[in-house]
Amino acid sequence: MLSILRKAQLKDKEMRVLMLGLDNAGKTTIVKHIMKEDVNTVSPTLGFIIKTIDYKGYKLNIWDVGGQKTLRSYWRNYFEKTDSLIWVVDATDRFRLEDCATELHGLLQEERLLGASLLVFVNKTDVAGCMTHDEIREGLKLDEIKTHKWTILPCSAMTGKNLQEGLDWVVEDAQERLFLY
Amino acid sequence: MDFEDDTKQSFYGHFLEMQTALEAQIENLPGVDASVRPEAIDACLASIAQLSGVVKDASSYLPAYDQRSYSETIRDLSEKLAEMRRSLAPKQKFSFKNRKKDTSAGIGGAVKFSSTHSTEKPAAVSAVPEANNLVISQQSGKNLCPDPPAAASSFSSLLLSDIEGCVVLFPAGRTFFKSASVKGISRSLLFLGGAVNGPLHVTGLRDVTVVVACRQLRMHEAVNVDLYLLCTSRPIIEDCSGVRFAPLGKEGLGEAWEGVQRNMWDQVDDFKWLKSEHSPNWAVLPESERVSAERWEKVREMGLDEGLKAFVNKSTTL
Ligand SMILES: Nc1nc2c(ncn2[C@@H]2O[C@H](COP(=O)(O)OP(=O)(O)OP(=O)(O)O)[C@@H](O)[C@H]2O)c(=O)[nH]1
Ligand SMILES: [Mg+2]
Repeated sequence: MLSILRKAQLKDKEMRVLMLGLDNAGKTTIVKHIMKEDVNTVSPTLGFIIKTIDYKGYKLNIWDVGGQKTLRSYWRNYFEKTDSLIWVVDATDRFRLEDCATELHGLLQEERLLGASLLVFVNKTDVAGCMTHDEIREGLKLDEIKTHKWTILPCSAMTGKNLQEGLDWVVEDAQERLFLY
Repeated sequence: MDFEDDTKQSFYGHFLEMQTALEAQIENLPGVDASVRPEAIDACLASIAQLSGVVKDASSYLPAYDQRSYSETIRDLSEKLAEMRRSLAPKQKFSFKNRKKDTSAGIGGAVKFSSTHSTEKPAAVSAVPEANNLVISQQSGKNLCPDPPAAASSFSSLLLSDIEGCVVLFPAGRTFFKSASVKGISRSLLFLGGAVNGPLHVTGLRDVTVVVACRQLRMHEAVNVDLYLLCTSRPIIEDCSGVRFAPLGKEGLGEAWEGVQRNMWDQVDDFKWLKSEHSPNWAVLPESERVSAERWEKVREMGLDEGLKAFVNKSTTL
C-alpha cells in the first residue's frame, strides 16, 4: 500500500526528502546553499522548515527538522511518505560521533522509513582537521546497514562541494526505483 | 522530593519540551510551501496527538487537576493550529510572524578590549595541536594560554574537554577557528574572545565564566554559567539552569567581527521553556554584577596571575 502511494508520488515526479541529523550538523545551511540563500545568517532550527525546489525535472520537498535533543522525539512525525533520508553529520564534531551513530541506527529501525534510501552527507569538510571519510564510515557503522540502500558523500554547505552530487544521487535513486516497481 | 513528586516533575519537564517544540512547528507553517503545507499540518496534528497520548498514559499518577491543565494546554495548541490554518487558507498572503520582537540591542556592552595588550605569555601551553585542530583536554588547575599559529590553523576546530579549575585565555584580536566544541568544564574561565568565527557547541558546564564571540551558540546541560557573549544568531539553551548572559562588545575581537551589525546575546531560546513568561533557566546578568571592560582588560594584561581570581564570578573558585 505504502509503496503504491510512493510510486504514484514518484510518477508525479514529486519527492519527499527528509533531512535529519544532530543539532549543529549544518542541515539548514545545506538547504540554504541549495536554495542560493545567504548561508551566513542561519539560526538553530526551532521546529522544522520545508523548502521546495525544482531539480532536474523533479519537485523536491525537503524537510529540514531541528536536531536539538528536545526535537528528536518528534522526528517520527515526519517519516510518512519519505522517499529519501539525508543524514547530515558534522565532520568536525568528534565528541558526538557516537551519539550520531546511535540516532542514525535508531532511525533505520523505523518501519515507516524502510522504503527510503539513505544519503549520508559528511558536512563541513572545508574545515581542515575534520574527521576523515573512513573515520566517519566506521564511527557510524555504515557497513552494518543492510536494510537500506545507502551512500556517503563528503560535502560542504559553505563551499557547496558535492551538494549537487548528493541531490543527483537522490533523484537517480528515485528514478531507478520507479523502474523497479 | 519523594518519588512521586519526582515523576510528576519530570513529566512536567517532558510536557514542556514537547509543547515548546510544537509551538515552534506551528509558527513555522507560514514559511512552508503551499503544496506541502497539508503534510506539514498533518505532522503538527500527529505531534499534538502524540502529546495527548502521553498525558493519557500518565493519567494513573497525575492528579486530576494537573491532567486538566495539561488537557487545556493541548486544546490551546489545537486551537492555535486551527487558527494558523485559517490564516493560511488560500488566497491570503502569508507573512512571517516574528516570535519575539527583535530588540536588536546595540552592540557595545560592558566589556571591551583593546588589542594592544601586553603580549607576555604568562604560562606554558599544554594544548596539543592535532592535525589542524587545537585540542585541550584533561587539564586541571592550570593556566592555559594557547597561541596557535596565525594563518595555518585558521581553518580548523577548537576542541576543549574535561577541564577543571583552569583559565583558558586566547590572544586578543585574532580568529583561529571555524568551529568550537566544548564539553565537560567546571570552575573555570574560558576567555575565547574572537577566536571562533563559527558555531560554538557546548555541553556540560558547571560554575564557569565564558567570554566569547560566535556565529551560533548551542548550550546544553550548563549549570551556573556566566556568558559574556557576542552572537549573530539567537542563542539556544537546552537542559540548563542558572545561566546568565551579558553582552560582549566587538571592539578588539578582530577583523572577523568588525562588520557585525547586531548582537543577539539576549534573545535566547530555551528549548525547555517556551511559555510567554521568561524562562527561569536564564537571566540577563545585572549590570552591577558584570565584570567591567577595564577589569577584563586587566585579566588580559596580567595574564594569569593570582589577581585573576578576583575577576572571575564569585561562584568560580579558581
Ligand atoms: N565551516 C563550515 N561550517 C558550516 C558548514 N555547514 C554549516 N556550518 C555551520 O554550522 C553551524 C550549524 O549549522 P545549521 O545549518 O544551523 O545546523 P543544523 O543542522 O540546521 O542545526 P539544528 O537546526 O540545530 O538542527 C552554523 O554556524 C553554520 O554556519 C560547512 O559546511 N562548513
Ligand atoms: Mg537547522
